[in-house]
Amino acid sequence: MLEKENDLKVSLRLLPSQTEAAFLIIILVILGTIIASSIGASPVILWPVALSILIFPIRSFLASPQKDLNTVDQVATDRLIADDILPCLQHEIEQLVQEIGYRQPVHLLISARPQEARAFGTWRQHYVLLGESIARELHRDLQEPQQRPKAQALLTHELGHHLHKDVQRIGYTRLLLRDSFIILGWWALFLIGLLILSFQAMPGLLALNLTTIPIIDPNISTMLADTLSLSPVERTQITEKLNTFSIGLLVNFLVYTFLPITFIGGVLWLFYWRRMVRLQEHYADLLSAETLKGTDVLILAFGRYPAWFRPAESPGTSAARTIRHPLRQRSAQAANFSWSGRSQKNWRLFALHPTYHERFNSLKNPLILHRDWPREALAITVLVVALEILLISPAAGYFLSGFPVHFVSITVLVLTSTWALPLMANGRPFFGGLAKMLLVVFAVRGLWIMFNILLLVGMVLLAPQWASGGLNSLVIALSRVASEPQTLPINDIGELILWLPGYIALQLTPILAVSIGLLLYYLANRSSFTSANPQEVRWHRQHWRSLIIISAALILLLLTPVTTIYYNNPSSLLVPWRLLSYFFGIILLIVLWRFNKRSH
Amino acid sequence: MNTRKIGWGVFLTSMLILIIVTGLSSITWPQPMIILISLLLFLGLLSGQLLLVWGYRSHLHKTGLVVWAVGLLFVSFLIYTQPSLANHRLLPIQFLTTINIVWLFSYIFVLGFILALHLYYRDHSVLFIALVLLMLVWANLIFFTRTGSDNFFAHLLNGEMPPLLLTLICLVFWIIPLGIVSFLLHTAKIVNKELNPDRLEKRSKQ
Repeated sequence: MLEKENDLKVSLRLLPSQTEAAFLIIILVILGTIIASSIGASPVILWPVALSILIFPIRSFLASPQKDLNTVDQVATDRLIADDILPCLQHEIEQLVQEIGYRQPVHLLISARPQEARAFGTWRQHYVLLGESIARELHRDLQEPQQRPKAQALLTHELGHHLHKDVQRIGYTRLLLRDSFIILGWWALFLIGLLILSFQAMPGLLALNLTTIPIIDPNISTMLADTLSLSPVERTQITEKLNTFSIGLLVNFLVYTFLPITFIGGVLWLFYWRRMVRLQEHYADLLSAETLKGTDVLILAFGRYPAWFRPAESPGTSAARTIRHPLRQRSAQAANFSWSGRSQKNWRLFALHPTYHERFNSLKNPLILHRDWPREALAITVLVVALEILLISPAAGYFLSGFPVHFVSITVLVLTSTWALPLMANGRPFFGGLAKMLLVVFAVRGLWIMFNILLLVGMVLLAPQWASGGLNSLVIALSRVASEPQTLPINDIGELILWLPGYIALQLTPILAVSIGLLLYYLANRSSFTSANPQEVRWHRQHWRSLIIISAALILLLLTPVTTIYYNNPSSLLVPWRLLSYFFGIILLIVLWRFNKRSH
Repeated sequence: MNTRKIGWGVFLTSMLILIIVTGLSSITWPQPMIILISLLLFLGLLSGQLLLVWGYRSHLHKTGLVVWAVGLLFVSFLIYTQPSLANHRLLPIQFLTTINIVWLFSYIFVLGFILALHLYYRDHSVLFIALVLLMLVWANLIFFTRTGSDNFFAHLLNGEMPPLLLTLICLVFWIIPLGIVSFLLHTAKIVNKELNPDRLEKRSKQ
């Protein structure tokens, strides 16, 4: 017998999800970094790079349905139309679309793969792709009163991906991360090759005398020489300009600019994007369960259409045994998708679907997605550290090096508040889990920072020349210059080491900032948490509005002043524009309080 | 089907004439005659190959075929730069290399046609431009490193380049303009589909 469901005051689907938060952060960081690369001084023109990252992922996303449309089986489609199955299923989809409150038309297509069932599309194109075999099975089940809800559960699950904008968010994120890896990797290789070739070939090109080349007609070569040749003064100017640049520093700049973004883009594309997909599967399940007014139907649908749900591991738990009971023989074949032993756990990092066990548990207790704070803490830490590495790139580092703790504070605040919101909104205890999560996030991040510091200290002690060279090349790259400096930015590594205690102390600021931010967030939204009609609260708008205002206030009132003190510039704390910024920060908090009061 | 047959007919006839003319190279031809025969052979080979490409255009959506076509160009340039490769016991080197050069001159244009058709069918403009440019830059860099600064431009302007570099330069001249046009056309198609999804859906249902 299945355990009783936990009733939620506010459905998780009404609240912003971790995927939404991660999506916004990833897009802002990557696009922001790329756009920032083309602003300000730079030894290499980078706006074509920015343009390519802005255009190509969007273009690929808009073109992505065509690949799926090419898998449409027209013969099977004609058969299903002739049997009146396709129109019937399309009608069912249209009814379900209305029931779930989705305002866009969704078109049903028949795939060449018999057991396929998935949603795809773009911002204005919305499709559900079903294999002929599963379409016939669904049509048959829709005619039988006992099986009809299961068929509706499958269709509602797929429509859920459109309703929750999974197709758009996750689709675009995947292509942006993929293109960050591929396109930026290409730009790095291309620019490095081109610059080395240009620098080395330029003296020869300047000295080239077209009239001495035998294969060119003398009249043509004389005409070309008159048009293209440079005066001695111009040649000297170009040569002098070239001599101010160092090809080594140019390559250094390009490597530092592109490598962090390429590497992190690739890592997030391989691992983190898949986590977003797995998470959204739960939300699609929840939509099915809510629409059909019960989780049992969906759980039985798992068993009825096993090849569609494609579990990541073989069902071996009691929950899975319960699901297996109504399974037909095909489920045994579906279970063979699993990988046994140790490889199973590793393989799940790449899985696009949660396991039966996870889906079962999240349906019975949706808040379990938000109770597993260790897993969530690890995911947040990985994302934050990965993006901090990405921001080392001179593209963003040029602007952000004066703000060392801002990004981590705001990102952790956004992710942890989004995690905690469902617990707060449903009146569940959250403080313990949240506190432990923050402890894990900052402890792991702290360990990462200490590791880097120890690495630096070790290099200084064991290989001081390498340490000096490495640090100087990083600073020069961050300054976006490629000419040989007259003096090295870091002459005395020992002096740098003296800054470390202050830097370590500075890392306590994000903990304080996040704690204050979460407190303000809770206070700002408390009235909604205790509202008699929580279903009527505009949770998305309220959540993001609160976070934007609190983040801005924290930056103006806490993070920037503390950073200024760290940089030994306390006198600038009281300059007029700073005072104005403090005043503005306070105004923002008052505005937030007024919003809260009005909504209450 | 007729196009294919005509194409094969024209191409093979031109090749036969070319072989015969090359075999009779010991005869001294008057210059106007040489020019006329060369022009006719070039036009014959070109039109024959173009007809063949048009006749087999349904296969041109396959990327493998394009790779094969480019490979053919590379082999031709290889024989052009290293004639000893065309050494054959029965036929003199000069015979085969002459045929190669004449055929190559027409094939360069045919390759452009092949690329144009492929880029019309498939949205591969970005991929091709990216690959060709990257390979061109690094091939030039390796060539520069091997020949040295003084000889690099001399070799370039005399056409004394490795076959890979010759192939890439030839490809760049085709792929850049064709790729840009293909990119714009496919982008327009993609944007149109996004802005008018229902219209296309109705058309496909019909």
